[in-house]
Amino acid sequence: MSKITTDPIDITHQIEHLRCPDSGATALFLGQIRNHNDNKQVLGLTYEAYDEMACEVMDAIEAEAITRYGLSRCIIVHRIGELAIGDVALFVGVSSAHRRESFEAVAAIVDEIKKRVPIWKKERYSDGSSWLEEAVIQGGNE
Amino acid sequence: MPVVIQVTLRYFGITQEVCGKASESMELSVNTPLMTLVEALHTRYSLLAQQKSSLRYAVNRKLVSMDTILQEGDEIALLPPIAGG
Repeated sequence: MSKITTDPIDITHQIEHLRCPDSGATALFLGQIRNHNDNKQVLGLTYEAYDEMACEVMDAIEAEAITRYGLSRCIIVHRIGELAIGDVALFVGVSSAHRRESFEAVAAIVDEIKKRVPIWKKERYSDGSSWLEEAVIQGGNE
Repeated sequence: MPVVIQVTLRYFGITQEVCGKASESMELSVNTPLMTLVEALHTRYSLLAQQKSSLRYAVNRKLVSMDTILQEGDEIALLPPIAGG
């Protein structure tokens, strides 16, 4: 079950939900706020989501990954609101019987999030701010 | 038979800044396609027309084509290029 939250992501808590007896591997991706982009110093980010649609799309991405990679567990959490440098904005965690499926699934899930989930971010600089435009949104299974 | 329908528009990212609001309600004639609504929005919000090549549209949280006929109670979202993760 995916989640959009304004609260800091509790990584330890999420990892506990990934552990299960039939899994020999757990893989994670943490998307963090960095202090630069395109040669500009970034002071922080504001994320905004179309919450209801974003959760539906992230649930679909989870379900697709579970089927495709035979995962035991899959969790996507995206934080929105005002974030500072170093904050974790995205948690993707999976578990599976063997490591290869977990490694591949995490990379594929992050790629799908960046193509399909209606979330926007605005970077803040010392001299202003701007919305980033990384991808025109795509539907699933097109 | 009703001759008008009521829909809700939701704006995100830069479209929210261009339109100056997060959402609004609008009355439309029955059998209005999405394209007609979008053209009306370009007239109402001239800066929105500058975004049109990169905008996509969702009706009731599903991406749709411009020939979609809008229905009573639909929620139409304007989706500029995304940047999650």
